[in-house]
Amino acid sequence: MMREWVLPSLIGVKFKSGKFVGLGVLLVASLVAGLSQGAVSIPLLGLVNGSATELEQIVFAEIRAPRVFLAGFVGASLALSGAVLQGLFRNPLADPGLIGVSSGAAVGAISMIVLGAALSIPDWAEAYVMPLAAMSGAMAVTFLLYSFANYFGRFSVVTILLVGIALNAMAGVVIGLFQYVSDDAQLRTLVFWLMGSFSRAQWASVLPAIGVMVGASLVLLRQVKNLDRLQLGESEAYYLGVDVPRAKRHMILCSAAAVGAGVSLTGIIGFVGLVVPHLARLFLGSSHRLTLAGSVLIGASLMILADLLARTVMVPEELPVSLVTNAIGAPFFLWLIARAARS
Amino acid sequence: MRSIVLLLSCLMAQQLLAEESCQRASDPSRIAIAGGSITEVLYFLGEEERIVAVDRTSNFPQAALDLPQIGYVRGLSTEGLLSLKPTLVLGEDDMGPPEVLAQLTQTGIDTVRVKEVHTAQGILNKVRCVASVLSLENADWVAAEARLVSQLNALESVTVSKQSPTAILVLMFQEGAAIAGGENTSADGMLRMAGIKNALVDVKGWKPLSAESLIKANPDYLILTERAVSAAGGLDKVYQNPGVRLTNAGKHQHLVQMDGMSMLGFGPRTLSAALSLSEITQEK
Amino acid sequence: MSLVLDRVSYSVKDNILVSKMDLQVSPGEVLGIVGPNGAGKSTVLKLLAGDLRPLEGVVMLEGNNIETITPLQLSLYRSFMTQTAHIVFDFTVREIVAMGWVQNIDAFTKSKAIKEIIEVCDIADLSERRFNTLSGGEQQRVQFARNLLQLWRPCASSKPRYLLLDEPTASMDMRYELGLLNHLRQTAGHFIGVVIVIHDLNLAARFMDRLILMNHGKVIAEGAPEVVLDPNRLSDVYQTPIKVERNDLLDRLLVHS
Repeated sequence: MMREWVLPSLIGVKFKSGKFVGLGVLLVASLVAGLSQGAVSIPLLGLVNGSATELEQIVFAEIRAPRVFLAGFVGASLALSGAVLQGLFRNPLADPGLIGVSSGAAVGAISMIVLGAALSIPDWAEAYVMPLAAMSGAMAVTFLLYSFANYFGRFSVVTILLVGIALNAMAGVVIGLFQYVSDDAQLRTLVFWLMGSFSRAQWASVLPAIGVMVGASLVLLRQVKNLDRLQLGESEAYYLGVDVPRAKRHMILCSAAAVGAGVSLTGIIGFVGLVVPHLARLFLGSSHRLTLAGSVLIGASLMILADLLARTVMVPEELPVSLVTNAIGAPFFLWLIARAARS
Repeated sequence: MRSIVLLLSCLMAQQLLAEESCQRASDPSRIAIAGGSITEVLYFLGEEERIVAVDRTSNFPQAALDLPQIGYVRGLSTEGLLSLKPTLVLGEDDMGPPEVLAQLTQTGIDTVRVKEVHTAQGILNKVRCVASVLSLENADWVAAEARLVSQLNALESVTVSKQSPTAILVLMFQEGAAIAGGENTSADGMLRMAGIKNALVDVKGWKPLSAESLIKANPDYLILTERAVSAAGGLDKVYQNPGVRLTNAGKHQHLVQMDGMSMLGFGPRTLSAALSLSEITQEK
Repeated sequence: MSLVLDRVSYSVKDNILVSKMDLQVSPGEVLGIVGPNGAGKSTVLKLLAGDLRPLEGVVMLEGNNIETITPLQLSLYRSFMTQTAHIVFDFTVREIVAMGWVQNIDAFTKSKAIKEIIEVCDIADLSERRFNTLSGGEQQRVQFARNLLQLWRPCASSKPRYLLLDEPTASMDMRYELGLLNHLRQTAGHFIGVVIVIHDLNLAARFMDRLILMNHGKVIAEGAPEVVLDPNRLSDVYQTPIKVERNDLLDRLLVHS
């Protein structure tokens, strides 16, 4: 009798592990590809046996490495947040941008671009003030979202989506106003910043951001059981032991933190939070244990590869990385819709 | 330990970055340029052979368009730049982003940001700065400098007074509104150099103007970039614009069309452009 | 040992849904709640489950105010089968059933329990199918299994648990409907108190130990089915002439109009 049910479930577990190992290999391969390829050709072997020039060493350690790691962590965070929000809102179209986090980060960063001149910040601090401002923006929007929802007395999914749309619109107005009052130089910086890019990565700013992303992601990963149960409905989740308001709080705040930390350094990168969770579901399954872990692995790999493409396809120039993610994401998204319509 | 040293030197390098200096470069043989006016200066000095790459705003002279590209002046790519193995990175004041500049400094590559001032003296200083970075001392440089100085002297006699004509400089037409230059813009500097009063008072930066605002400002002259004119569909169409028609400029057919970069880039061409503009507007 | 509503009232805006109601259910019994639409039956279940907070009165689980018990603790002692909501993502039937697992025991036992429940509930042929492709009745059978899994214990437990069901057979074929209602007796035998809202009075008469007839948020009658299902009372509550007969051959009450 034991053999009857142990064997199928063991095989099930093994099969899934096989897929996870595959994703792990993909991530490692992407990492290696990202670190070894670039505009400047650097032989990895040379780094190891000490024959690389000092320039090559510096390019690798200070310019390429922080960039690739930032890409990996941002990709993982965006994908994980997207998966969590899709589960929380029970909506396959949910996305961190939806609840206003990306816009909030943008408002924070833009305020700094436009008002920063008046604050006479020393040049050396310039690079760090922006990320801080962006994260504050992301958290402020999330706080507003939470407060509005609380005020209306209902923390329902529909309320959150509607408030998120309204906050996005307000952020758009604020950004528009800033674009109007900014001078020419600020305006061009702002417009350029809004187009996502990893080119601004430096260890000094990347490491703290990664810290935030990892911390927030760990909290999100622990929400696996709650997310599964929420799929049955909010009341049903409560009956199964979920402290629903608390779970929602954690999910929203940590998504905001993870995404905000990333956006503050990279600008807005679209589609990753929307599309990668679907890829994870297709490849692994809808159970959130699989979807969340899969989203982290696939998101990181995808972003590293997208950034690699963005910085090598038009050398010596660079494409904004969101161009690449949109180019891949949009057709895939259409395919998803077509597939859903057919079934 | 090594990473701490790197981090500290990184922070220090960024402090040094704050100062724009014209220190001579140790090896100015391969130059990557970020900023159209600097490219112009190199060609003006006859040193264009040294250029290995330019940015997207470097569109004069025509030959510059064929050089390898490093991106937009404010959105450069570090590795891309480095792959061209430049020995010197020379750029306008607003080259960036700051993180990329910090990365470049970290690699030890000579990086010079040339100060930008929107006056005739500012242009001369810019050219002198580049010459000093390149350690130019030959006769060609002396002659070129002399030419610039004489242009500057000619402009010196042209000053803005109560009798000066007024003008508005239009960069572009966007959705029916004219994007015009107020205070603290290159347009304002240009008009001053040419002895023209900027009709746009109490406006800072580049702003879209409605037809009504144009009429209220009532400039004697309307100066347009070639891009703006072609966007409007030709000079005739611009005259038909109600905001233009009812101004002094429109009534007296005082519309002037000039190449945008030559007017606003603040490279050597801008001196000549200012002189032409002052001649056009001073003849009554 | 019981789950109790003690003079509980609940209203939304000016609508009184439940009015000073007393109710008690103990492990081992199957209690049915019947009444016309809008009587407050579902509201009573939600109050018993701890989902709604009473405006007056107290809900007690084993003598403790249910408001003082954490959701996690509660989930170990009571399970609630609601009307099935639409599930957005593609889960398999086994995954849905597995969501009912709330205990902190090893995965080995969990797999064993899931297999047992699936067999007992007769959904083995559905277990690898996608939940969204099932019919309404099939989905309800799966949800029932999930609820049973929540209350499952590795060895015979004498800790009282409660199973609440809100019209669990609404979309089921007769065969499965009777199967589930029969199963309730078995379930009650494992030291579980069952409360079920049911609209079919014949089935209520046949399968319940005790009945509560509700109307307008109040208890109209309570007791054994024969007692509660009085034709005059029923006709009054349901506002339509109802007859009740005893069928000696089948040894059951027949309710019809």
